[in-house]
Formats: sequence, structure tokens, C-alpha cells
Amino acid sequence: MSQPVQFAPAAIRCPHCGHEVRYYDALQSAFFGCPACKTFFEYPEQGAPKQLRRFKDSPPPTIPLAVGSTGQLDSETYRITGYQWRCEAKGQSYRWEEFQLRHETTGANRQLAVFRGHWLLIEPTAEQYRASQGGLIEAEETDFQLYNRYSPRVLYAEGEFDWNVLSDESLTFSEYVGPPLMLVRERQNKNRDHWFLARHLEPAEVAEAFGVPRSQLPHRAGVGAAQPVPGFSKWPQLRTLALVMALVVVVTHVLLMLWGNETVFNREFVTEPLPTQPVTDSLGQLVTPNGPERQVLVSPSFAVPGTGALTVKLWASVDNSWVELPFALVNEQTGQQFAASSSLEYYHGVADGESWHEGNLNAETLLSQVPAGPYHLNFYPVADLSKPEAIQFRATVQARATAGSNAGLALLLLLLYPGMLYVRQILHESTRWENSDFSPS
Amino acid sequence: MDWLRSLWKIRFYALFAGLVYGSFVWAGLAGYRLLGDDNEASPNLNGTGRTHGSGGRALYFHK
Repeated sequence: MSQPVQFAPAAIRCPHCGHEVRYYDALQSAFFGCPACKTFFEYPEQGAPKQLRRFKDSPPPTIPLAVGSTGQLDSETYRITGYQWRCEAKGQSYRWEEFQLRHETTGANRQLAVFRGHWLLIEPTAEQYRASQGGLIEAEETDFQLYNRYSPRVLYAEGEFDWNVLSDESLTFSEYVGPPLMLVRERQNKNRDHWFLARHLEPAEVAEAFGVPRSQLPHRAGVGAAQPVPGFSKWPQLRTLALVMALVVVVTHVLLMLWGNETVFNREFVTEPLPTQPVTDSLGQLVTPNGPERQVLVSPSFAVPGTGALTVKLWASVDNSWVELPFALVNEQTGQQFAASSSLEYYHGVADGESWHEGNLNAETLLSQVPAGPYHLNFYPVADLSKPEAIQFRATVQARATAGSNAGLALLLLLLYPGMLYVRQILHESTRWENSDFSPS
Repeated sequence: MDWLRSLWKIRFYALFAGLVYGSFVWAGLAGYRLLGDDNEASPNLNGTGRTHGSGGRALYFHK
């Protein structure tokens, strides 16, 4: 947890206004920023202090982390010894804040940078990296892609520094992102590069580390350069498990199909129109119906071997016509009925020199949880009244049927959440690269 | 083993996936269509659940 700002053990006077600037690192610190008059000056070991610049810009009204306060990062205690407000030389609207951190016991330096509410913890690395022409760095753990290149301008600085922060204005920084990490190359006139490794920090981590309320930190906007995609930490496991489960569902469905779909009934029928007979209407007058009716057809008995789903497949030989086949599956022991209706139609012809066809000669119906036992089918055919002709049709019944929709539903449920997360990740990446001049797409 | 241990991160999804798969297998073995079936008859045991021509477009004058 953080500790309150303690008085620094040493102090010097600002050469411009005489304000007492306190500092913690008597050995290393040689450059100072005065918060009272915004003067940046050098205090060499020997000789008089030198004023280097008087900043014209004023810092943001509330600096989120106070100079002199301490916090716990990676279980180590760091003190904030300096603060800078910077911008890009060619894009002064791109402004960020940097906090100089000093390890309380070892004196090692790190930096915290925040841009539009996105925090990075930066530390120097001895590793040397080589970027390809396309701006790609292939490292052991992940690849880094060039994201930004700029020279900085220092708008304001206060606290103590062991280097002249103004000299950074002559450097070119290149940022390569591999979320949640970032590599930063510091280059001056193509001399030896200095590399820094940065890591994205959530605002909550910063708030907890320095013991400040979350509301005190800058509001986060957009997507940070090294901000990991949603579900970053669990995505590899989630993706693998989802794909494995989807494969298991498909394999199980195939096995169920092989195990079931046993044909227990297969027979052809012919439905013929009954002779048309005049009937008497409510006034006692004889009228002729619009068309002929058809006889009810009853199938021979067949056995369903076990309780499960039944598929009733129908095929009819209709030609530029239609037939409706309502049917009932009747349990001969209990009288329980299952009913459904299938429409079969097929039309074809030639129009404007091109042949066309529509409709289907086949239909399939699935009946759930049909108990085992002897059954028969009753068909109540209805056909095109203008075509009083015989129609041949075939009925096939398969026991232990498998419902493809079950597999479809299972796949949908399994892939829904990973799919939504994947879409969010794509949108996240897209938003990230909107702020870059080096978008890979 | 490490991979199995890493599943802890997605324990809720793993539990959900197990339930979905279990339901799928149960439905497949029990002959139950999860999205409903095509049976138009009311459940009964006395054989009166069916009326002629209750579905489709019976007596619809086609074209």
C-alpha cells in the first residue's frame, strides 16, 4: 500500500525563484524542475546551478500521483521522484504524463506513463532487438508490431531527474506493441539504440498500488496501445476448449446417427380420388362439391423397437401438382397418437426460353419420444382438386432418429460466448490501430 | 496437466460446456428434440388427439 508523502531528506533552492525543491537521490539526481516557477535547472556537483528552460505550459490541474508518494509495484516499493508532461513534436494534441519511479532500496529506475487513461510501466532492458522492414520484431514470447514513431517535447517537469529530460527532444522513439507488452526504442542519430520494455497496467492496479481512489486517475478513453484484448488471459484455453467441445459434439452426433436411424417401415401407397357425388346443402338443394375427396389409407402394423425419436420420410410422385399428406401414427396397444402433416409439391416449366422448377418431392418429419410398441400409420391425403388423378407416395419410418437441430443447438450454445468474445477482440484491435500510422491492415 | 490446471480460468464456461454436452447426449439417447418436434397431436393415451387435416394447407386451392 502507499505511504503518505514524506519530506525528502535533502533540498536545493531554485535558482530562479528561490523555492525549496526537495529531492531523494543525492547521488544521482542532477536535474530539477521547480513546481513554483516552472523552471527546469541543472545543479552540478561543482559550480553554480544553471537554468535550462522555463516552461510556458501549465501542468494539468490535477496530477494523478503526487511527487514524493510511494506505491507497491510487483511487490516492490517505489517512490515517485519526478513528473513530466510531454507531447509529440509533430502532434501536440498527443499529450501524456510520465512519472519517474525510484526503487526505495536499490535505487533502480522505472517509469509510469499515462496517455488518455491508459497506463504503462516502463523499464530499461539490456536486450537488443531488430525490427524488420515491415516494422515487426520477433521475440521469444510474442511478436511486436510497429505502432508509433515520434520525437517528444517536454511541456512541463517537476521533481528530480538523473538526466536532462530536455535532451530527449533530440531522440526518436519507436513503439512496438505486442499487448500487453510494448517495446520502446530510443534512437539518436542511428547510434546505439536503447530499448525499454513496457507493460500495460489497468487503472485499478495503479490505484491500488499507490492507494489513490480510482476516480483520481484520468478517465480512460479508447483503446490503449498495449491494452490487451478482452478475455486476453483466458482466450487460448477458451478457444481450445470450445473447439474441442464442438468437435466432440459433431463426433457424438455422427455416432448417434450410426447407432440409430433404423428403418422399421418402408412402403409405397397410391391415393386415388373417390367418385364425386352430389350432396344436399342446408336448403335441401343438390350441389356438386368442388372436387373429389380421397380415401383414408391405413398402413400395415410395424414395431418401434425402443422409446426414442422417429423420423417419417415421405416421397410423392407429383408433377406440376401438389399433395398434402396429414398422417397419424397410432400406438396399437395404448391408442396414443402422434400427428403431423407434410406438403409435397413439384412444379416445372419453361419461361422466356429458360426452364424452371420449384418445390420438393420429399418431406421429413421428426416425432419426439415415441414409446416402443406396435404402430400403424393413417394417411388422410388431400390433393389438387383440379387434378383428380392417382398419386403414388412412399412412407419410410426410422426409429432412434437423431435430430440434427440438437447438434446445431449444442454447437450454437458452445460457440456463442467464444464467438462474441472473438468479435469484441476484432473490434478492440481495430480501435487500437485507429490511433496508429502503421496499421498492419 | 498445466493445461488442465489453466482451465480454472474458464471454469464457468467449462461447466456450461459440460452441461450443454450432457443435455445434447441425453436428448440424443432419449429421442428428444430440444427445439420441439413436429407432433401436432395433444399428448393423450386414448387416441383422440388427432383431427383430420389439422395442419398444412388442406383444401387450399393451389395456383
